[in-house]
Amino acid sequence: MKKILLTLAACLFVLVSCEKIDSLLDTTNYQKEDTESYPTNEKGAERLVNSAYSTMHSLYTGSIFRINLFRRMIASDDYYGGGSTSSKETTAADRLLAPSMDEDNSPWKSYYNGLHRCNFALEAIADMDDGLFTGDNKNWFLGQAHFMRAFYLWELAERYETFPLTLSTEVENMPKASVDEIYAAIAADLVDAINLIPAKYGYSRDNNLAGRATKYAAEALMGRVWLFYTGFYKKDNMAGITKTQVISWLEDCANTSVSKFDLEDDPREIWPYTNEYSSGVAYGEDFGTYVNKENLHWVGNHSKETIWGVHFSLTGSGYNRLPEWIGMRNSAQRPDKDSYPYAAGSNGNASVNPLAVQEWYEDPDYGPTDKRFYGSIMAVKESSLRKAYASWMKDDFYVELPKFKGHDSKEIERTLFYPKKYQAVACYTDGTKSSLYNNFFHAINGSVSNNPKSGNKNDAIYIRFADVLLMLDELKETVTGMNRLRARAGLAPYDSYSFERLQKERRWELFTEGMRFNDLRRWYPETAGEIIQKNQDGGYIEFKGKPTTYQELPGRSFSQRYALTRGFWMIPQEQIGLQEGMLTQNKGFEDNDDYLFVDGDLPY
Amino acid sequence: MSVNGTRSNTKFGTWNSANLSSIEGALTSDEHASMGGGNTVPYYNLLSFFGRFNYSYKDKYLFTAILRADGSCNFAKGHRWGYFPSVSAGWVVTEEPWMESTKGWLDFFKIRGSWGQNGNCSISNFQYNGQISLDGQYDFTYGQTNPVIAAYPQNIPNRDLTWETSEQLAIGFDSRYFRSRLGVIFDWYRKDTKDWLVTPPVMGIVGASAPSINGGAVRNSGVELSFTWNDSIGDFRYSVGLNGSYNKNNVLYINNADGIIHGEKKIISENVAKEDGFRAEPGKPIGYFLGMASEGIFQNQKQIDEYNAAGYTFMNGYEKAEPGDVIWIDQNGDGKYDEKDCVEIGNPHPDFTMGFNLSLQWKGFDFSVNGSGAFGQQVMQSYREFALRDTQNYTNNLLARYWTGEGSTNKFPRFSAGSHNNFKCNSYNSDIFIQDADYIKIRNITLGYDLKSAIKRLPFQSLRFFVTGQNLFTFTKYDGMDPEVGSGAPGYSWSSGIDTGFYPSPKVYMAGVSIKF
Repeated sequence: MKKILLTLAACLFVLVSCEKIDSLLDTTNYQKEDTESYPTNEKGAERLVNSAYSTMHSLYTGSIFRINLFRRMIASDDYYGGGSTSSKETTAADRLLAPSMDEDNSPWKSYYNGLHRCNFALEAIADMDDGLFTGDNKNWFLGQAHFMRAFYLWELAERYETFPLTLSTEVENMPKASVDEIYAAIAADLVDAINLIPAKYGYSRDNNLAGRATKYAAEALMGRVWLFYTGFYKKDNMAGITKTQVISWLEDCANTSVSKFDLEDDPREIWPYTNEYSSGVAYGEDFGTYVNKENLHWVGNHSKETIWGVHFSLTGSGYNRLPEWIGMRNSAQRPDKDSYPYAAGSNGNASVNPLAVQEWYEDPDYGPTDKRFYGSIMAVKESSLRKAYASWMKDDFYVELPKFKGHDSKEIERTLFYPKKYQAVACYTDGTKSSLYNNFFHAINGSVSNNPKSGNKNDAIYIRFADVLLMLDELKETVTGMNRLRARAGLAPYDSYSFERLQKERRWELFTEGMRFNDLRRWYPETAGEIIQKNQDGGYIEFKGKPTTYQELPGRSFSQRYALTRGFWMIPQEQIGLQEGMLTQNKGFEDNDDYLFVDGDLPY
Repeated sequence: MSVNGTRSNTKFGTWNSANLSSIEGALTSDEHASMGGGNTVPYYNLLSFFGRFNYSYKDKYLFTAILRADGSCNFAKGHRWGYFPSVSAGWVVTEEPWMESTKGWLDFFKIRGSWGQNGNCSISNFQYNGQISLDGQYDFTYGQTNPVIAAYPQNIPNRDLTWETSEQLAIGFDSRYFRSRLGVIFDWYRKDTKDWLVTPPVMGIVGASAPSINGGAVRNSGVELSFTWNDSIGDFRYSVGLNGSYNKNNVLYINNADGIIHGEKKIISENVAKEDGFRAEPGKPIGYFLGMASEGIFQNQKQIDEYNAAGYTFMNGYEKAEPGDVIWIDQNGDGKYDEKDCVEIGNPHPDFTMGFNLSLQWKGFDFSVNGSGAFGQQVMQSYREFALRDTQNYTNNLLARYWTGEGSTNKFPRFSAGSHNNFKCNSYNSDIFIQDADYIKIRNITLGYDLKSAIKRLPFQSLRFFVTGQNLFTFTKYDGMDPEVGSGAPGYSWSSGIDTGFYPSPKVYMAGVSIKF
């Protein structure tokens, strides 16, 4: 019997070890390529680079906290929080708290997906034979991947300060890198991007070029990161990169004959609310909106002023939830004639700080003649508005939506001022004004969903040309750029540079765009919290329809939270668990800190 | 009839991958829908060889040996083949001549023993290599109407991945007594699942999705015993069956860096669990519940004062307790309530399960009942955040559970608005959410009558009218919708017993006719 069994076993082994039989199990994946062999040609290399861009879309869907721009907008003194009592995320962002322990888990993973894709592209493309590429395409692809890696690292650095620095596809459990290691890595990637991406690719509307990272985007991002690092950490250079170098890169970027990026003629025409469907111009009509009165015409996405931003496709997947998150709300949560042209289909999460509005309005260097004033903010609900702000609001103050009522039983920090730049916008379906689309992108292209949430396809803009001009003025202490922006806004030029003027110009040019928070942090690393608190406290709000004033949470005011966190956010608790012993929590979010915001905790 | 279609530009540029879903310029969801298919074409390539050896001597001594080799395309070359031997032996004792004396009452007695292995390879394809997904996209056109393909490495490959093996050792007997009216079957078993195929969560910094791994070993051991009795008295025939089994589930080892496969943290309503709500850990049942344990509810201020005087501390941030608050256990006595105080607070696996059936037949009538029960397991119940706001929806049985004054309950805290450590428990999971879920269910009751037995000239073989009730009675102390919670956390196939609100087994009443021609 033993013999029989042994024979049986032997037969099986012979069969199985036979190559012919084993090869019957060979399978080819017709759905996916293999990392061992991909890419084999230029097209594959380009697709790997594309994936570094496509990851950005995942930061614009899903929960609010994924969108760094939104978080920075709300945390700054441009906005209060708002929304309803269940919009915990917004209130948490406004007060440097966390709505849950893992709110940052999905953006954290997205950032590292982005880094992994950049690392893979860099490694795989570097290994490819130069002969596979047309012209200088290899450098072009590598340069874009370096730029994208720098961008993700910068977003992480601005958000978490320190984090595990993964610069290769082989990743082991590792602790946070030091601040200097991180900024050295960003600087190195940006220098590579500047050197590798051919200078011929500037602003372009050509197929396959629109929205790609350029040498100039790398130069502008270098300016942004350098200013933050040297300001926040009080250094005079960043990993050996000097102010002189940064100035020369920014000058190269601002030189329109090279980069082709430039200012638009009117600062308002960058933003979707000026589109011709909502104003009726596309239908040959005049709908009598602010945009009609000011004769504005949207330049469309991909403005020549957008040096770096996230772009979306009208026909492809991916959409921008930012307009939804900062969008207004009425009780029906859909547009009507009182909200027109705004969609009003959201949660009213972002109300503009009325103290900032007052400051702008009363500043003799600015005031309501600044085209950007009514171009950036709108006032609503005239009856309450005039009463609430009677002390400073003159009779000719323009109320864009006098009859808009919002949603009294829901809105918690309504100031009656809303931001316009990223506001979700509706439009009439034709010239008769008889029916509405929730979302004007649906009128542009019928394949865009007519949904106030998933139908928003506007650019999320990280760096505008105006910002580059302002960075140059700040570094060189000149007024050239500021005066170009002032002339464009219809204001008299400044005769000389002062830091205070530069600060004001940056504030109002970039108002509600999500730049202010980091400007304050780099200018006032220790006291930004006190400044923001002082600039916000006591402003008028309506809590579920009842007038009151904006207040801090007892025991954890903005300045207290800033003193602990310095404006950095929470490392997702889940990742700390998964990286057992290696990853540590950020200050202000540790076990003994009172950092969780739960609905019901509001001080009203 | 004919079907044809044309699309050009395959993503791969090869004939082999010219399937419709690999077309450049991704298909719209409508196009997918009209093809009636998704985007995946899984392979089930499996190659098996096996040899069997059977030996039987006078139906008295039985022996079987099987050796099988299975090859799966889900593993890399060199890891494809698994060898799974098994042997079993039986001895029919009642065939022995020296057993003649027991023939009067013992009809059949067989002792058997077996040992064997089986393999499992059911994971998704190509986990062993790094896959480049082509389903990303980005639009680099001014008109925003031409998204192009983005290719990205989507997973961390595990080139060493191989078969999961389950090894079972069993010893038992089959027996029949009293003219085969009584049947008794007994088994003792030990089943070890080795090289368990599992996809544990992976740290985010790897930047791609987690690989499946051969993650550990789990042991189930226990005994099973079953009795059946069939007999008839005149026209009356009846049978009774009863079986029960005792099982113990235990994780033997976990094959990753920290020796634990972590479960979902937020499985109970949001924000509650800072530590895993359940996990797989050596020495514990798989998917056991982890959290803070309590020892009752403060009934009055005197009790609180005594507790305070004894030097115990309350939860951080809650220096003062009120009557109606939970008495949490500081396991290590360090005055803090943190992950070190999280212990096993429940086991989703029943210790004991049983089944029974009864059927009666008399003339044309038939009647049957069957049911089952499970004992010793717990359920983690998570319907809502329990005390955030009074405007939230909860099931009304919750209201009956609250502490409402001294002596009302020692299990569930008072109602409190806002976030409260009675429920959040410093953001750890706790035994407040755990309930014993022993149950007995009557699954089916049927009463029938065959008209043929009364009216013989009916042109049918049988014409039976019947009424059936399913799931009519459940005996349990569990207050959720259904104590039989099979499912666990979404995405964690190895977790169980977590009631996040599922569709309970419906009560069904049926009446019908069955006709046989």
